[in-house]
Amino acid sequence: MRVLPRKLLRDLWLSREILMAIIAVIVVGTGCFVGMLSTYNNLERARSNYYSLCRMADFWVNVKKIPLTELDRVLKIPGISELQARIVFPTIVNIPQSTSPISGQVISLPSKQSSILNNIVLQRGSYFSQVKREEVIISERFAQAWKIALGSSLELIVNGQRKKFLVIATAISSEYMYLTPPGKIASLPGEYGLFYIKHDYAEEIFDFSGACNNLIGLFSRGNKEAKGAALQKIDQLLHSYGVFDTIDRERQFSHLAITSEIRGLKTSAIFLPIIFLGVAALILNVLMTRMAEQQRTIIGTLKALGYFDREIIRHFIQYGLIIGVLGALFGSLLGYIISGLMCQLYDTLFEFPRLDNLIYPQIITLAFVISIFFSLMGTLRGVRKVVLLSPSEAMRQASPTTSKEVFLEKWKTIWQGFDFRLQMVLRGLFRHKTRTIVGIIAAALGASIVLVGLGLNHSFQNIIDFQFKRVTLSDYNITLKDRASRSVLDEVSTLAGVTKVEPVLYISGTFHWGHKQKKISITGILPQATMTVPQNGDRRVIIPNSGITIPSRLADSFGIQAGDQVIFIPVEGHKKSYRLSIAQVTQSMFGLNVYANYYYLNQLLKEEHSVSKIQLKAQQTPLQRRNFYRQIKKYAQIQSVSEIAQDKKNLREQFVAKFDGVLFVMILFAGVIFFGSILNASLILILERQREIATLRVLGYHPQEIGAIFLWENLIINISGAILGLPLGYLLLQGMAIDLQNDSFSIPLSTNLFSWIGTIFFAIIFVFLAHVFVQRNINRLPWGDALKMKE
Amino acid sequence: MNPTPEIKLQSVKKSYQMGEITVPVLKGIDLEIYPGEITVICGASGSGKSTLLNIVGGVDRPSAGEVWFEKTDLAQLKDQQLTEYRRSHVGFVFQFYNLISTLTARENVQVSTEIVSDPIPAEEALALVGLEDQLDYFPSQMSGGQQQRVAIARALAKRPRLMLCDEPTGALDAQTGKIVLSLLIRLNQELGNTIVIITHATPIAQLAHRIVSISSGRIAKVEVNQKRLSVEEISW
Repeated sequence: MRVLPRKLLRDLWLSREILMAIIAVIVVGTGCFVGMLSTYNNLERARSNYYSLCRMADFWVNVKKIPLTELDRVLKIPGISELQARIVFPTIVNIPQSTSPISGQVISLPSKQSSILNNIVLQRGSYFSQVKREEVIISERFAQAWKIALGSSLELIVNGQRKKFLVIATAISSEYMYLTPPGKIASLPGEYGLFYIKHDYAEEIFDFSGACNNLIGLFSRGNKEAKGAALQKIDQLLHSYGVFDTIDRERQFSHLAITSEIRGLKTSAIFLPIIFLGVAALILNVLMTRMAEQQRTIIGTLKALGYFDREIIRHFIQYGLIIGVLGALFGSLLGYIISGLMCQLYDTLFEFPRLDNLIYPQIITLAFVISIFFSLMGTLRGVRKVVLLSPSEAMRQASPTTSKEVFLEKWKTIWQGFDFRLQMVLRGLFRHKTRTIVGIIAAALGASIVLVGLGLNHSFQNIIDFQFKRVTLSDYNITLKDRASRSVLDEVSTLAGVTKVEPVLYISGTFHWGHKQKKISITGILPQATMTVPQNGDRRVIIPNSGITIPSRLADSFGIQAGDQVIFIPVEGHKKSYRLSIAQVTQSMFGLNVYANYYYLNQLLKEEHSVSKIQLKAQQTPLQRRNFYRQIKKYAQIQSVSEIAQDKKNLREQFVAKFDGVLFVMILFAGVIFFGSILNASLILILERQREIATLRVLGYHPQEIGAIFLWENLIINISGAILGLPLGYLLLQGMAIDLQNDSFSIPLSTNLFSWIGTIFFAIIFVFLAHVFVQRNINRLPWGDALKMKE
Repeated sequence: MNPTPEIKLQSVKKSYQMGEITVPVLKGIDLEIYPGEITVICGASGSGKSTLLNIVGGVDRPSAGEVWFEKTDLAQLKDQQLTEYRRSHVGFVFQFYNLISTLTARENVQVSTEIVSDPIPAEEALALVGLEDQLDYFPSQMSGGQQQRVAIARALAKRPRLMLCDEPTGALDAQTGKIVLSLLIRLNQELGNTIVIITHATPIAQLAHRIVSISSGRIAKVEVNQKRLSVEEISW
């Protein structure tokens, strides 16, 4: 090995602590980059394979009932290449181990296995036999959650009748990669099940002979614009059969869930590494400027000996190169671990036939390129200045930094009130402006990550609290299959422990305003409803006696305001159109909930107090609760029952608890930035101030007293940075919220005082933790030698 | 007739910019340095002798005037060519040795030998300065005198035409200083290099073939030393 590379290795070894701090920042940056992009690729790949395997449909049409003879007409619509009819109905499954009735969905499949759309992937058992009609294939996770064995019998309530089925297989399907009960965003595996039964048998039990209520299909390839038009045509064509909804894949719930996750990953995979690598480049710049300054005489000597500038620059550039390579190497390793963990997490959220954690050479190559680029940028900027000096100038020590007053010294009384150590700290901060600014930027970026983490955590809590403490105040919600008369309320109010009941009426239909139209469901609630309480910001929304209350996002997208009238055509009934006045526009946190007075809605439809959902308040002993569920299980007209406390718990477990791990990692990563920046700045400072430290030691100062000077400096830089990081983090959070929102819902992301104070608190903790290392270096400083150094 | 000078300076001026003030350091130097000779340039601190040495060595450029090495005016050379000149023809010895602390004696010499085509191997160069037993010592494990000998080995290993020594004994005690000077004289005799030594200690000048006195940026006197003394005969 030649001599300069040997010098390089020894120099690296000597400054290993600082370098490790910088490398750690790069490792986290490239780790996030590799980890998130690999996860993105893993998910994208798994999803795409899954879609091909199952032949995922491009669109879904939910209809009340249409004869199969209409299918040919639909197929003739330009842009549609394939169509398939199914019978899909909600069901209640009777699981003996469960106290409460469990809801699910019955889906019809051909009796013989074929290459259909939205096919299933069998996990255990085999496809329908030709022997028995009452066979069922159930969703894998549901079977696992309730330990349902193949060959066992399962009771489903279908079309108001109790039917026993033989469990012959378990399966998964890309259509339900993310499975939750309708209207919910989270559920536990045993809470909602899918039950695939033979189509012929479904026709029989639902009285759907020669008919279906669910169409799925594929668009012709290549004509994207025609898709919307094709769906609109289907809607028009089947209008008289009662089209509840036409959904293209972009709006399909499971697809939407995985897509927003994948999109979020891509966004994070870009912005997080930029923060880390940017900080690393800045720190490296400070370090290399210092190192070049420190090796100024060596640079001068090498020049005097006849080394070319390019040879010297190449030598110093190798520091950056090695740092970049090591950072990328360990970063890629960390990235692989991160993507492995993320795949494990996603495997619990989504259901894939397989989700492999692969190594992507192109991502790793890119990580190396980016890491080396940032490292070289930092290094080159730092070294160029010294290397380009003439050899005679380089061989002279740099002239000492000017000792003019810093601006604070103009206020003599204040300045003189400061302890001399604080004066040293303040002078240091103002004289080494670049270093101070780099420290502040690093702290600001670190703090912004902490604030984003704490903000997300707060937002999830806030959303759950908002939903369950202010909007949904019932103890149970019972959704009915079909609208029932109000007498059902009296029945339900006699159930064990029930203290109060309230009706809710849902009407689905289409809003029309000019050429714009949208499928919407109107929720009719009592004027003084106590269990569904719509909120407008911080205030309760009073539902007017007539007209509808719409959220501002819907008003904005339609370009309508209070006082306007929209046309509403309900899905069911006689297809009559109604003129509805917009009574008020409110700020909705999420979703597009449209409210109306319960009586007004009934009157409008000329119905006698119809009920779609019953909300209950209950005060129950455990025995009463068991009795309540036993009684509920007997009602065949129930579509689903949800216990609000359980919903809340599920949401917490599904999102908040899982996010705790993510939050921990985000705070840890932010800590790496603080550590890297503080260690780098302090260790450089210790080198520069060796004589000052030695002098103070001679004067009798304890190492801790000297360490306090460094601690003060770091506290001032990092707390200032953290304060600046607060608005930055807030902006990042708002950016994320915009990224997450779509046509149908938005996720309000916000911060509270705790997240702001928490961020500053973490910044202080990081400073103190990093100070342990700084203090150790001060304690170990050979101050006797430092005194003998030449100036 | 005098032989052709190795280096010839004509009306060389050098000034530095210190903020808004221009400080003249060399105010018109005419000087000839002859091959195979030891030239000692002496003068007080701030007289301009280090600047003069730097210009001769091609680490600095004159603000005006000509510096001739063979048929080349160093003042006209580009950075790249000046580096080439230093690389091929000049060996530097500094007051504070300027060794690289993370390299051993041998490696410090190799810093020089690796950039020229026909160097004296580092081990041989170190043997020439009497450090054959300290090849793998780091600078921190050596005395000042030993470090300066490593610096001399580093300079001579390139087989330079010119060895430029900037206060080579400045950081050493008299006893060690004498060892270093003896070494330089021996190398001059054995290898025939042209050596320029700058010093503020006038007795050292008695070792030279030619003594140049410099004062306030001008040559005060150039004398050919007819009565060269040996190292043992001088003291400072």
